[in-house]
Amino acid sequence: MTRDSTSAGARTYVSIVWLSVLALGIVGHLMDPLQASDVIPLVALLLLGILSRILPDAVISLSGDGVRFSFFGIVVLAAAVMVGPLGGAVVGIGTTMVRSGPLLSMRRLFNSGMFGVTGLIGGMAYQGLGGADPLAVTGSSEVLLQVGIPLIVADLAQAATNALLLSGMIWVTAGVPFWVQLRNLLTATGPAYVGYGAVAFLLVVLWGPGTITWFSALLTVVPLIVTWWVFSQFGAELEAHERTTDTLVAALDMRHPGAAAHSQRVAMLCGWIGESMRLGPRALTELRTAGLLHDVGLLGTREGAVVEVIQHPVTGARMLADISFAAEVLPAIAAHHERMDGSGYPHGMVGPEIPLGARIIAVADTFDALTVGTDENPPLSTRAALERLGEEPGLDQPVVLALAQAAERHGFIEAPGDSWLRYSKFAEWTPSDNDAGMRLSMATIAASLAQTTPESTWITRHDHPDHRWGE
Amino acid sequence: MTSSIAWLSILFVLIVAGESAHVRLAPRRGISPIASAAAVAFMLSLPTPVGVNPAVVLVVGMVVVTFGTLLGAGIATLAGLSTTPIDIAGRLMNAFVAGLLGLILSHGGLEHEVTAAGQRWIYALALWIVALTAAGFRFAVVSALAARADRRSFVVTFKDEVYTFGLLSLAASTTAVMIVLSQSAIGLWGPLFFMLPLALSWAAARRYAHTRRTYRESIAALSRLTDLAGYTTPDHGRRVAELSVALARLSGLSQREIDTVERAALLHDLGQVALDEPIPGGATVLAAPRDQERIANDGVAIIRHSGVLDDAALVLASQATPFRSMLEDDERIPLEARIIKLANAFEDLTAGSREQSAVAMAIERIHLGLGYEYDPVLVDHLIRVVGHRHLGHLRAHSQRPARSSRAGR
Repeated sequence: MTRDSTSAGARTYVSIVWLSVLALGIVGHLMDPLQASDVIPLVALLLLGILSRILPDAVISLSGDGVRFSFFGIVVLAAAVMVGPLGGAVVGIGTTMVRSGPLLSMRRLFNSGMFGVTGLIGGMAYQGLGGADPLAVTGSSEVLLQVGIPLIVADLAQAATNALLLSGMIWVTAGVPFWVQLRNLLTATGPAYVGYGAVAFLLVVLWGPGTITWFSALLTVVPLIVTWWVFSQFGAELEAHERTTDTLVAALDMRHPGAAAHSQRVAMLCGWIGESMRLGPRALTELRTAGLLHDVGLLGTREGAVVEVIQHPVTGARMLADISFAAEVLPAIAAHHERMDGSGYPHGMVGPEIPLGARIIAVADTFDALTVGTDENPPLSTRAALERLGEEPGLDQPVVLALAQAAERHGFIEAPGDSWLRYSKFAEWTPSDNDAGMRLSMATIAASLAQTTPESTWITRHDHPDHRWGE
Repeated sequence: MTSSIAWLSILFVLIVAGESAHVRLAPRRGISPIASAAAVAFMLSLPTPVGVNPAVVLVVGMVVVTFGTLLGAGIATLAGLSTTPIDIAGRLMNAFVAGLLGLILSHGGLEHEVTAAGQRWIYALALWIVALTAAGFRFAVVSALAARADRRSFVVTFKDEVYTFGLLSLAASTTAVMIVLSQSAIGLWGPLFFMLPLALSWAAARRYAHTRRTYRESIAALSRLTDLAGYTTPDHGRRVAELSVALARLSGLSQREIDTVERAALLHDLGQVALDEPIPGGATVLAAPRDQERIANDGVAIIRHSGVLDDAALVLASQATPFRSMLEDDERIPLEARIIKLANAFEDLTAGSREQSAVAMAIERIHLGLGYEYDPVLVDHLIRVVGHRHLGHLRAHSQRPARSSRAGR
């Protein structure tokens, strides 16, 4: 599948989303048409929504699909509750449109359509469950039962709508399996949505029953901005910490030029193999880290020094021993040259003794070496490389099969030698368009790698099954 | 009256619970937003019965808040998370000012006036101003006490304090106001519900503090990378970092700048990985100036890759530049870079030894480059730092012979 058909799929998908907005909008209008008294809440919430879109999301993850904190969801929910389904749609669509960049880009059309549907569904769920007009309720038990409970249900409905629509989009554009993506999104954003519900409830309570009207929006937004700020600080610190990997890879590349590109390719392949094997989000992140850092032990290794090369997996694990987030990947790195038939090094481990992560790195490593080629061995096409992997007794065959599935899914199964990256689809579609420019996701690294032709260096040669070092 | 007592009891419990789970965000300084918000809300909800002197109400309120704060701090200490007296003084100040201004406000009768006119938001605004003023007093008191304890300037300390805790404190004050206002709407549920966003901030702040610690450990691990690869002597990076931080403190840098100095110092030798043959002992001070520059540049190139260590990279870019370039060529060398250059030279020359002869030799060598290689003001600071440690070292030595001679008798 090429890029053009991808975006055709995206176009169809976005059209379907907008058709749902129209259909649901008509139903919403019949349920609860907009009235003059809705203007003040609508304006206040639109302003809040715009503020939430101006502040970049606080992202808490390296790969760009971890937990995000943005209080936009709270605003859409509060609008759906206070103004009704149409209010939710107006705030959802309106605030997504107020951003710099091309007005009718596919990404923006999708986001605004998605939040339109989300707002409508939220409002309908609230009214369908007998939620009362929060501006007219008094008495604490009435507030809890007639506003609180329907509001939480509306909140969950919005979370589900959001995750479903987004997973569909990522499946269409990036080939990430729908259920894998849905599970990632729900575990990543589910808890945040529960928090959104609670905060939207506070805003509604102070506005109506607390009788301070619009000042409620002002007061509520202060702890929210602070929460956002703390999350941003936390996210930035976490990212800085995870970026220690980049420093390590850069140091390795300074020592042995070409090592960084190889490490990144292996990391990407590891992630894709993990997707095929239906690993959870945490395991996938670990697997990518392991792939990125697997050769770090070569930092203390001179080319051609056989003993040092044999020890490099263990040296690498020792170098990473004090880096806390690398703790889980140490066994995989230490064993990434072990082979199922015991022919590997340094310990000659056999079969199931070798951790799964190490077996995955071994397959990715060998695949990269085969497709890059050496002086004696020309680069193999993806199909030929997969066939060769299937003949290797040292590799775990279920993992090889998972790589073949990934090649199919990500579109590089037909790629000729040394260019599988150029054929690949990767997740260009991140969950939000609120990304700060400097964040490098795996996808952007992939995009820049795809521009270059992989080079054969001794780093890739030492992974080649036909390479005999020390001669 | 009973509901008022139930209300105050809930807030009291929140003071104790919040205080026992405070977050350490800076060396020797922490915050517990939940306890602060509960304490301010407590002081703002004090009843004013007819015939009771408001001063008595204020004093009784403060006694209860102080008791709750100390109880929570005690629990925290038992759990291995000690609170400093400075922090406790700040929090009590916060509650006291809020209570005082709150009583003045309720005596003015503003609430009934504006509620009757349907303008209750004015009352909300007044409460908010009260809570923010109280938070301002907290910052003033904490900064004054901390500046005196650390012998740093009040202004630098105040800025550090506001930078680290300003927004969390703002959120705590606002939450206190929202809790007070929610009483009429959802009654006793208010304190629990309205603490939620703050609890979220608290949880994030806790994880932030944890990440900061582990990040520091990882940078330290990176600094040992060159040790494991055989380029540098063990612990050189850590010692340069310790000395650099001490010099940075004496130079009056802010906590943020000190953190940058520490990171940069830990990573200052990373550029050596590009060398094919290690420098003997990893001592860059003995390498040719052009090699020093190249190591610095390679290190910077590596560090820039992460995109998040740019401040440290900026410092390291000029770590090899001699001080005279600043005078002769009008080149701007950041103070942080001058600090690391000096600390690295001292550690290279002493090779980690604190023997009197080694220190004296190193200082002598550095004096040869005074004003040429090194910043004279920083060299004075260095003598203060190592001289101080050195004296302690001597004292430890002078006790040992005394003891052995007694044993001899």
